[in-house]
Formats: sequence, C-alpha cells, structure tokens
Amino acid sequence: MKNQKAAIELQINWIFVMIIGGIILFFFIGVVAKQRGVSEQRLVNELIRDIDQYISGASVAPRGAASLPVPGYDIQFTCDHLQIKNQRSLLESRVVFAPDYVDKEDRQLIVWALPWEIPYDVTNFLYATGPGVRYVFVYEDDKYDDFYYNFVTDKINKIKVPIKDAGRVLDFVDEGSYRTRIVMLGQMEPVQVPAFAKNKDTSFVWIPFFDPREKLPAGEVYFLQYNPTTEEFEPAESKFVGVPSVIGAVFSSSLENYNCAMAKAFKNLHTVNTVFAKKVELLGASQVCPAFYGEYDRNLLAEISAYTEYPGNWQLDLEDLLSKVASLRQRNFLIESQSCPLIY
Amino acid sequence: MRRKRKRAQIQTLETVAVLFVFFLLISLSLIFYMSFSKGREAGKMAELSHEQAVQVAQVISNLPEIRATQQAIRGVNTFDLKQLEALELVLESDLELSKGIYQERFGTSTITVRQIFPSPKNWTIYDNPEPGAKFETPFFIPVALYNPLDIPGGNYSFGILEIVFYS
Repeated sequence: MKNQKAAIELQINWIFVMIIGGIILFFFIGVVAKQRGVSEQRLVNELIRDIDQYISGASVAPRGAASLPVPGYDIQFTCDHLQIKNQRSLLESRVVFAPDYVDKEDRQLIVWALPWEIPYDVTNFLYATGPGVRYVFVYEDDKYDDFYYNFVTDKINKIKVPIKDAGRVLDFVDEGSYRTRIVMLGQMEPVQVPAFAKNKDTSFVWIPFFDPREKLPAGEVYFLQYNPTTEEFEPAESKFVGVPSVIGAVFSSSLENYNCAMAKAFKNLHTVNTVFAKKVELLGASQVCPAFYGEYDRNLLAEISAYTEYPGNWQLDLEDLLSKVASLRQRNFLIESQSCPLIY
Repeated sequence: MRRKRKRAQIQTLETVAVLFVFFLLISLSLIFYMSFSKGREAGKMAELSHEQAVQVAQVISNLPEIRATQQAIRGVNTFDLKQLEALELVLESDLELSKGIYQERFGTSTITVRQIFPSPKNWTIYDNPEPGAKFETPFFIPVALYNPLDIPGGNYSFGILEIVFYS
C-alpha cells in the first residue's frame, strides 16, 4: 500500500511534467504562428508602400513603362484605392487607370505614366496592369498603326488582330488570360468575339473618332460590358480628352472607374488653374507688358475654373471648355512671341 | 516509506526549479527581444519619416503649378517666382484647397523656399506641423528661382527648397 502511494506520487510528477511540456510546446507554436502572420503583414505593408511610392513618383515625374516585381499577391484596384490582402492604400488625387485586379500568378505589375496637358501640365495619368491582362486592338487596315506601335507601350500583353470577314469574328486564340480587353478604334461595323471570350472576363472599349496626332483630341468613348443574363455586350458612353485619357479608357476596368479617374483629373485641373489665375492677377498688377494679363486673360482662366469647379460633371459642355483651352494656348503663344512672362 | 515520499517530493521540487529557471530564461529572452524590436521599430519609423519627406520633396519639386516654363522649356528644379507667390496666396486664402488636395499631397509638413543669392528671401508655401510629433525630418533640395518680370528672358536666382516632415 505504501509502495502504491509512492508510485502514484511519481506518476503525478510525470503528469505534471507532461502538462507543463504541453503548455511550453503550445506557447512556442503560438509564437511561431504569430511571427509568421506578422512577417507576412510586414511584407504586404512594404509591398503596398513600394507601389504607393512608385505611383506618387510617377504621378509627378513622367516615366516610361516599368515592371515592378510582386511576390505572389493579388492587387486590387478601384478608383480610390489599391489593396493587397487586407491592406489598403488610398490613391486620393492621383489618377490611376487599371483593371479591377492583377492576378498573383502574374508576379509583376506593369506601370506607366503619361502627362495630361490641357493646355498646361496638370498631372500624370498612371496606368497599371499585369502581363495576364490581354489587350486586343482591332481596327480597319493600318489606320491606327501609329497609335498601336508608337503610343501604346510594348510592355503590356497587346496584340493586333484582323477581322475575319465571315460574321466579322475576331481571329485570336485562347491564351488563358484572366482579363481580355478588346480595343476597337475608328468607325466600324460590329464585330464578334470568339466563343471562348464571350464571358464577363472580356470587355470592349470603342473609340469611333480619334486622331492621336491632334493637339488635344476629344470625343466619345464607349464601354461594352458583358451581361450574363442577355449574353450580350452592353454599351455605355463616356468622353475622352487627350491621348492619355484614350489610353486610360483602354486600361480602365469599367466605365465607373474611368469616369471617377477623369473626375479626379479635372479636380487637379481646377487646382492648377486656380494658381495660374492668381499668377495672371499678379502679372497684371506688376504693369509688365500691360497689353496682356487684363480682363480677357483673367476671364479665360475664370471660365476654365468655373467649368472645373464640379469635377464630377466633367463631361458637360466639354466643347466649351476645349474652346477656352485653345484660346488660352493661342494667348500664351502670342505672349511668348512678345517675349513677355508666360501665363503657363 | 518516508524516504520514498521525500524522494518524490525532491523530484517534484527539482522539476519546479527547472521550470522556474526555464521560464526565467524565456522571460529574459522575451524582454531582450522586445527591447531590441522596439529599437528597430523606432529606426524603421525614422526611415519611414525620411522616405515621406523625400516623397513630399519629389512632389513639390515637380508640381506643375510652380514649375517654371520659358519658351516651352521646363527647367529641372526651377520654380517660377510669380507662381510660387501665387501658390502661397492661394493656400493662404483658399482653405478648401489647402485643407483638401494640398494636405493630401504634403501631409504634416512645412515647405519653405529660401532664396539665398543674390538677396535672402523666404516663401513659406505650406505649413501644417503635427503637434507632438516624434520625428521632424528635414530635407533640402537646391533650386533655381526664375523671375519672369525681368523682360526679356527673365533672370535666375539661387535658392533652397526646405521640407520638414512631421510624424
């Protein structure tokens, strides 16, 4: 009996050791799991910060297309923010055109920036996409070769496809892209996509009238989004101002995102215009070159300012704005020819 | 029987003592690790603050509303004095802009352009310090200041763009 008691005491001792051992084991498992989560979060934070900094840099200093390495994370884009996992970075006044997301399998983000001048430098438009997003350019003959080869970067996954006469079906093969953007340039009869591309991952953008060599081309742009109920591509209309906004329409995931980014661009225009309006006031007060900087110049800038006061309404009276912009450009040219201080 | 019980008690006491030393070592390591990572975090924060100051400097030095243009040529890090003055006045009078788009761009910072040569002069174009900020990171860029009023052609002076970023 006494031996039994001692044996029980020894067993209890071992049970105690095992419980404590278990606690220690769980403690270390917990520490490892937490560290793993923390380092992943840190990686996401650094990645999002790098992309954010690149976008900030590109939005002020134009640069050629570049590929940024992205280690295995989906990047989601909206007009207002970009997101990796649960981490967001607000885009604020930066104008970014991108697909709704860039797949983690792409492992890189292609970014590119172009300045938007109307008539002075306002901001840079930034374009982001992945190699898995396919851009299919469609136009009659070689009418838009200049735009395709000289204006659109070669870094993106782009192809120019002919239209098959029978049923006007586009002739391109399935490469397993997660997004296909069909870009139709110029006036043309409707075209058909191959059966494999007739789904929600395919979308169209159509610009009927457009000359990329014009100083400030403007006109209508149509977004065609696939409707699974009707199994048709349904059109919605917007407008473009300048070649950078045409390219913006090509890169945008939807009409809403395009319009939202353009509204931001007009907000930037309003800001820059406010400073130039004040500059003209100061130049007028200085009495240098009294033939300029008077009511006419002030009114031109005031009208541009009034037009852009509500950036959400940027599509209204666009022709009026463009005529004011053309007048301002002429005026600046005249001032330059007289060797006087420029308006912009 | 008494000896056996005593042996078991000693064994339990040994285990407790070993555990005590073990947890003591773990606690010491944790304290050491925490203080080390705290120092590392502080260093990281300072680095971040510096990066943000550089970012603001990059934005301001390329801002189209103050960048000088002369006969369609844009100078690198060249500011038009009239535009600088105009921006200063706009930010003073238009709260919607100063608290809106410019606050988004410049955050909690103070941006001053100092003319050094030929005569000293300052323009504080943006001033939004953060009360109780842990870091005040200054960043400087040499700039050329273009005076368009001296026609024809204007003239240039030399200055420094100073950004102090608070975080």
